[in-house]
Amino acid sequence: MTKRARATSGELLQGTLPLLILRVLSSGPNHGFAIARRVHVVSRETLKVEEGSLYPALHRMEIAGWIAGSWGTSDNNRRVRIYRLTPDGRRQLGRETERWHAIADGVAAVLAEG
Amino acid sequence: MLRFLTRLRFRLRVLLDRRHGQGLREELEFHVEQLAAQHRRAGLGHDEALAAARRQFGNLTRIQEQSHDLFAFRHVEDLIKDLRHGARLLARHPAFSLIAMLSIAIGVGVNAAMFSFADGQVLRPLQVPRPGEVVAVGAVAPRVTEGLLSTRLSYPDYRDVRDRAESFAGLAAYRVLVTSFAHRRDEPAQTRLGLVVTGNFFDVLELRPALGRFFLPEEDRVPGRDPVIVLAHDTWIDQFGGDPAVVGRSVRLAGLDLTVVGVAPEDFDGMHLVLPPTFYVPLAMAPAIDGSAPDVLEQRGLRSLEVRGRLKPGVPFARAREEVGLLAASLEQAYPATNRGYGMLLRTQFAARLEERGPMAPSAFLLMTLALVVLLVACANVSGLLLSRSPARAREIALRLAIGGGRFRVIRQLVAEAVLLAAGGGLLGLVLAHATVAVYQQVSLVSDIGVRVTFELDRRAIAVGLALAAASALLSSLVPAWRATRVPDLAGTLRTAAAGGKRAPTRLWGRNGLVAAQVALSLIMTTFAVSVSRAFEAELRQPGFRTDGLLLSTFEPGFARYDEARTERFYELLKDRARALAGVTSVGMTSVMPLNQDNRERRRVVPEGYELPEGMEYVTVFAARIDEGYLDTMAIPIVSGRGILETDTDESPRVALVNRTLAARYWPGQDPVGRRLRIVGRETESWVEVVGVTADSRYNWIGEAPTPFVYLSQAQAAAARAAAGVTQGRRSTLVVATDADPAALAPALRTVVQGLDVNMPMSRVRTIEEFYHGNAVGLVNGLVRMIGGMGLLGVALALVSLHGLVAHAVARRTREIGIRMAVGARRISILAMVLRHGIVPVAWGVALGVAGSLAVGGMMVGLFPHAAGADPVTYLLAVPGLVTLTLLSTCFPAHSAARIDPLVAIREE
Repeated sequence: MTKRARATSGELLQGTLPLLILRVLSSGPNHGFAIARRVHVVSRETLKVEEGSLYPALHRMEIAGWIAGSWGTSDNNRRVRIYRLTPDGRRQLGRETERWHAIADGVAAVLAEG
Repeated sequence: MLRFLTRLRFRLRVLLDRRHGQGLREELEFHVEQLAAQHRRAGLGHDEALAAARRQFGNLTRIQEQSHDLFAFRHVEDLIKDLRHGARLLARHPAFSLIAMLSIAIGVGVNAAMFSFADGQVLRPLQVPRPGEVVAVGAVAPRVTEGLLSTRLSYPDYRDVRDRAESFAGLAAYRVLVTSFAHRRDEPAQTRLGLVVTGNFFDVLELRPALGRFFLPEEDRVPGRDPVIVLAHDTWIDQFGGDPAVVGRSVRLAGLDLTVVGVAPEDFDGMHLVLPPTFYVPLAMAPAIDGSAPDVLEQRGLRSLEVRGRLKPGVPFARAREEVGLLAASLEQAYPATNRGYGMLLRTQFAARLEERGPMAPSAFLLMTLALVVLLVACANVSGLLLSRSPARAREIALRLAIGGGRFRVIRQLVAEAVLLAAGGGLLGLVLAHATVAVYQQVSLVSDIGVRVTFELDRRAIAVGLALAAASALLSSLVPAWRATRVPDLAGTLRTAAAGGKRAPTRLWGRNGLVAAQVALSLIMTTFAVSVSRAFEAELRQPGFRTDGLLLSTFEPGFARYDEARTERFYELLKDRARALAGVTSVGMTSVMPLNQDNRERRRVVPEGYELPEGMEYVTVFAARIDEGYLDTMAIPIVSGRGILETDTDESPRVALVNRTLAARYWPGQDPVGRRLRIVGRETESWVEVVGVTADSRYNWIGEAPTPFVYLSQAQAAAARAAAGVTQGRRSTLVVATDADPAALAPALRTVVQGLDVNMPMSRVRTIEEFYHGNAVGLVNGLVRMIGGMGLLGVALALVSLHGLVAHAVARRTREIGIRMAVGARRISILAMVLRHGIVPVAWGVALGVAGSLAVGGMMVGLFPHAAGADPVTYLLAVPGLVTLTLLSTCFPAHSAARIDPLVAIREE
């Protein structure tokens, strides 16, 4: 319902969130908040990860075995859930990246052809 | 696989780790705090920052729940909830639940019982590892004989196939052997059945001995050289008390000492469902034990072996079948004298089993089919009940759908209820099945050699019963559930259902259809049961021989090492002394009793003057060797010519009698007396002259089609046997007719036999009533009762369903009826109106049922040739009976409708 309303303001294309999460975690373990921020910052503030979809996505990926979560401590000494990439997740990252490039190329081609 | 396992473990760890969800909340709260901190840094106050963060994050609880769904065993939790809810509902409507459970119980019980029966008769696989892999190689001789086929192979043919075929991992051969067995030298011998097997038999079947060893390959090479024996597990337990020192001891078979080398595994009970062997001996020992031809290993024309084997892994059945066919063709070329016209056929063990079991296989399948029909009727019943309740539940369901319950969840709820019904019904059904089986276990065959019919509720039957209960739960709940949740207008339903409003007419159509189908199915079953029982009754009244006033006893002089001549003298003396007993009117002897389950005899014959079809060389018919007194004693009428006479000896021309069927088939329109039959032996041929024709009787099975049969002279056959070098005395049954109580004659007869030879092996002396009851009446009555019982259960279920339908219609129209009566409708017209609810589906059901049973009647001809289809009398009995019952069951609700008090009915709403 709200999806359509926000479609222009950095709403993520469906199915890209796991790819982004995997990519962020491939440069080191991190917690949910940091993952969301990193996506935001690295995308030069174009992409915004909805909190409402971030955690379910993380948990789904955890069950799928792409990432593994464990409890750690944050900079200000709070208990925090840290996620890291598993070997399965690394493979998945490769697959999804490939898939993304294929889609992007496809879309670009269609746009160019007009 | 490994990857799958690591994933599973991983997932389980995650699930356990997250089970309680406390971590979830903590994780999300951390995020909110970080957001708030960010806002504070941007200049917001503490509370404002927190509120903004919360707004931004959205519904914390909802996210938490979403994740919880991922982690928790959500489905299990839901299922338990559904089951609990279902149980509460069922408990609230005990009458409904009871009827539904009873319906399923009847359906499941009947099926479990019939499956047990069919399992014992046909279905149970060989008790060997991977029984589905076992295949059978059999002979086919379609080109030279008409009538009966033997599917057995000779040893040389078997050996050639075994050694030359490349498709088989192994091929073994065996045959049944009946002989006298004594587990100690000084113990009296008993008649026992064993298997004569090739040395590789147990290896091919992949069995491991429970004790000792099995046969060595060289132990089936030289006739009579290796007197070794393997005992069946039961024999070891019963006769030797399970003593491990049994290996190395010796047992006596037909007076011969054999050394026990091993014990077969406990589960293995032979190759034939109803013939559990007592022992196993190497093929090469058979001639020494039962006096069969000593050169059995060399004679290509002596076809007595069943051949079973396993295919090599990866070899397709079709290829093996082709190879066997080619081998048979090459054998036919190489050995035309013995193999001309003989083909070979590869079949599955199950196909071989079906043939082996004769008329019991179709009977078993028939019973199972009927049982499935009963289950269908029962499911229709439960379906109808659930449908009838769906209006009452429509509001609940509409409410659940309205507040956002998924349709799948609502259906699952309804299925859960049906599962509960099926679980209760299934367990109750197994109790019913157990009781049924216990009753039928009392029907037992009369057999001397331990023919055994297993009929017990074993693990397989219980599994089938439970599976069917589950299937019936799904079957009977899915349709009502689907319909109940397909509510087009939620608001409307909520309103009208709240007001106890009316139902859409299409719903009722479903129930009418169900009731019509039930009536049709139960009509088919009852007409079928009635016509089968009438057919059998007719059969049982005329087996074609006397069924009272006779005493039977069977002798095995061969087991006492009698030769033919001595056997002949013994029988002569026996008959003389029996004839002299008080009350005896006549005596006779036969090699086989009609309808006996232990033993059959057949002959290849060529009727003189009969034009055999192209390529045929002889006809195979059932036969018996009889003496001059037999036909008279058994009251089998001679319709023309004469019987066997004392003057028919080995010095006079050989004679025979044929039955009417044989005469009509091979000499149609001619007088068979004076014609000749050429009897084709393995090496010799002889002519016998037909001196008389007998009436037909039943020979192998009480329901059989007219069967050609030939009677030969016992004395002449004995002389021929002696001339052919057979050394062992023949088995024979003495039939004594008396005008007094035959059972009272038994002690005197036993004394006579003991006076002649104390050691003569003799079967249990029995009256013809016992024999006939055991081999025909009991069996048939059992079948008829099972079929009839299922028919009645079907009717009962249909009646319950019909009653429910009409009662429901009355309840639904109470108000309307009240108004009608208030404006002056007469009771009788109300009654008629309600009755119409019952009559319409019943009329449809009867029409469908009659059509259906006519179709079924056509199929029945194959099974019961004398009961060709349902006769008019059957319909005269079944249709009005059923209609009356159905009308009665609609009368009660109609009656209560007619007594509705208009004032109360109208005010009610």
